[in-house]
Amino acid sequence: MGEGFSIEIKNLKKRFDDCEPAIDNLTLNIEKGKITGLIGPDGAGKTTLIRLIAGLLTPTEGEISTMGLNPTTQKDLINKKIGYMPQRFGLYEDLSVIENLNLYADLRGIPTDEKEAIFDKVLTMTDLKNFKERLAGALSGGMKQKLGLACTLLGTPELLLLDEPSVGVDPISRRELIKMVKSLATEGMTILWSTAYLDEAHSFDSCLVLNEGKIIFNGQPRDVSETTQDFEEKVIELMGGFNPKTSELAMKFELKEDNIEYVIEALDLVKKYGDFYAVKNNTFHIKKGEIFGLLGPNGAGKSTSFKMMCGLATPTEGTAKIMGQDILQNPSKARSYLGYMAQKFSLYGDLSVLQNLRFFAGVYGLNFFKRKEKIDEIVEILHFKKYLNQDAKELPLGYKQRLSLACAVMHNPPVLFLDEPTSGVDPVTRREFWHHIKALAKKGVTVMITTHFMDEAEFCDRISLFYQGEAIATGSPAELKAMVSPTATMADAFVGLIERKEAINGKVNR
Amino acid sequence: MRILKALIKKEFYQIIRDPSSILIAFVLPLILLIIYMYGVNLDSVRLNMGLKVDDPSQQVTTLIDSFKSNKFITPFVYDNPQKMYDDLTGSKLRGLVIIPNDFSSKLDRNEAATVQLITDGSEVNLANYAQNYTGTILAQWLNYSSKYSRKIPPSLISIEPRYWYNQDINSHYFILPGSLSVTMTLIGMLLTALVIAREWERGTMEALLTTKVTRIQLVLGKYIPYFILGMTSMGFCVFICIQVFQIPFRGSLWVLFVFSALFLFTAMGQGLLISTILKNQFTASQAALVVGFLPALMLSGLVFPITSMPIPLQWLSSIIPARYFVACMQSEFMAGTVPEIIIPNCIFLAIIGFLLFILVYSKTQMTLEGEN
Repeated sequence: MGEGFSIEIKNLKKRFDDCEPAIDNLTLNIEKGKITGLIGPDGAGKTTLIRLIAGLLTPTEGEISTMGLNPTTQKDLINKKIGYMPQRFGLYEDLSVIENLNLYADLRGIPTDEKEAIFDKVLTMTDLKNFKERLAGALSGGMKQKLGLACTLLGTPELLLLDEPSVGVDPISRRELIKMVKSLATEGMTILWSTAYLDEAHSFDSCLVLNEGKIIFNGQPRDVSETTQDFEEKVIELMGGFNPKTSELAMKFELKEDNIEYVIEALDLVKKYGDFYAVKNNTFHIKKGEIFGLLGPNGAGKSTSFKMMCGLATPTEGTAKIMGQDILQNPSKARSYLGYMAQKFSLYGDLSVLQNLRFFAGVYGLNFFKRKEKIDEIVEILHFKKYLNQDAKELPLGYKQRLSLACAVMHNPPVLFLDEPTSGVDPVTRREFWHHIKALAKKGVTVMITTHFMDEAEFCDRISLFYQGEAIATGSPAELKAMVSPTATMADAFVGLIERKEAINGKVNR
Repeated sequence: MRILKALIKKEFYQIIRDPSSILIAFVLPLILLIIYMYGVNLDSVRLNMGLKVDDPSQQVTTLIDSFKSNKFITPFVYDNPQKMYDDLTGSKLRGLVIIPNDFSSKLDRNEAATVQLITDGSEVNLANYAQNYTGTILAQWLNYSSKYSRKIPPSLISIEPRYWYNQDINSHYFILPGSLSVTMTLIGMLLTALVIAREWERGTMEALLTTKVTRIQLVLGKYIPYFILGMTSMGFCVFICIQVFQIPFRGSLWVLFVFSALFLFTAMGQGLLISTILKNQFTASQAALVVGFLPALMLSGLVFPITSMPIPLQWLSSIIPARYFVACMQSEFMAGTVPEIIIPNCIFLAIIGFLLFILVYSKTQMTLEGEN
């Protein structure tokens, strides 16, 4: 075994059934004590690679050495040395924070008398000290991820394997997570971190770009480019690039003419759960053809606002209007103008792609002849040909999201509500998504969207920044940035505005 | 040992926080027991019968009185035959008795008289009752009739029945203890069928597999907590049977405890096996219902005696744990501890339980290989 390498992989191949190999003849080494980012489009083989390294899967061909051990035959020994955080964190949602920690401490064989001190350390680090007794299922997304990380860190592993730990997490939580992990690396831990965020990957020591089970880049991110922005461009190019053509999805979109000035209006929306304000006094007016972004940390009330605006949740006070129709008085009329894409995949997993498309064409009331034409069109534009007869639940994430978008726009709605449509989606697919969204907006479709990607926030015409149920700032991306400092990035603006608000709240509380 | 303890503790937290396991362990058996106690009745029932008398003789009126005073029959006397047939086809009556106009004259001439009985054959059990009741009433009437009793030859043999183990032939005394086999199969399987599948579905299995947990710890970590829960539930059911429903219990509670434990061990083995293989809570619970409930009800000897089943079904029933449990239960409740029954049945239960345990152990995966 070579000095300084934590993981060595030679001619590795992994094949599931008779499909194309998920990992195709991979040879690579991962350095000790460094953070290596693992990036690539959906279905590139990132999760498979991590599972192979942890010994959860056995290679079809080739060799892996994880810290000098063979994952297939020496999994027991490897388990003692690694911390592995799967995509869904591996937390028991019906156990409290401290119970989860206790469980994993026992499972990792931490001496009982050391538990106290270690828990104290990880709880301080993850800022979860005040939530010890809370059930893991009741934590926000960002807190869950931190707890998941805390659980994997128990027993101080030599190698940390993180499978997309930052999906769906807000920028503040992400920053904290990265800071935590980086401080661990300085203590000599080797970290393999798979991510869809290229800005994250850019800040790591090393990065691996996978595509269709093959390496397309392995080296230092700084070698690719000095700036994050440019790095993203280059990586997207490496992945095969995205060539913007005119969005056919938008071209074929038939928008009915109307002359309503404000297409979406929220009027003093309030949502209370018991004594807790999920949304406080929210008012905004969105013009036709605008892309309106809702930003904010997890649990700030974005999704709740969304649900109230499309009539899925009843507001405690206030109301919303879609195309001038009151959502409380005329719910079905108002909803008929909507195309809605939920945060969770909400199509029928056990139906094939084609069956899903047919079903939604049916429920949206497209007439029989139009239906076939529309479906053919969508299949063509979004490249579904290959997946037509596959069950929707088995699609790669990017394709699932495309299918959801296709179903949401099928009936040519003048208003689109997109709730985190790009969470966990790879950079190329994200580009394609926004290409369609921008083209649709140009055509006159009004879009309301939530996102955790700061670069996406820049594409919005206007943004409303949510914090603790309140819109604390509203304006164009440039205006928001200017509120913080002339040179601020979107992420700076996000963090800065929230910190400012917190400072004010702090004073009030005192 | 510490890992096992941690896993068991975790499982108990989950049981406490998840109302559905409490529901399955205590509310479901209570409902089932109530159904078996008050809903299922294999004993005599009261029937509505139609009566049409075409013979106006004085003697026959006393026959009508016999029908009227019988505690198992509510007779309705009809004149209009069409109305009577309509009531039978309309399920208002379970049977019709028609006494022809030559009934008493035939008896007077020492000829055999006939009575017509029409019953609803779509309800076979009730039809049988109707026939038996009618036969008994007619025979009794004949015996006590001042005019005809001397005409019947004295019977040389009379039966003096005594029903051992269950003097009142109260079917609840054997159904209720036996039904615990169905209840315990359901509980043992349903509780466990969900739990491994849940770990796969929620992605926690993947995290567990990269800790120090060994296969045997993983398996025992599921068996032990649900075994404790299942035995508590069993104790609860036995308490309800004996104390609340007043079912006589003649055996030893210790013996009951031993074979119940063995039986629960087999039921959990089935549940865990289903859960391990299917990895999906919904399909696992469906499978548990079909694999557990139906055989426990049909093939255990609870409702249909095993010895009267076709040979292939008898073979099949020999791999159904409930069969051995029903035998033990009925013996323990109605006859007391009979070692000749308890010991072989316990041995079979232990063998099946152990085989299932080995199967669960060998099917428990320690990698994600082969996951759909």
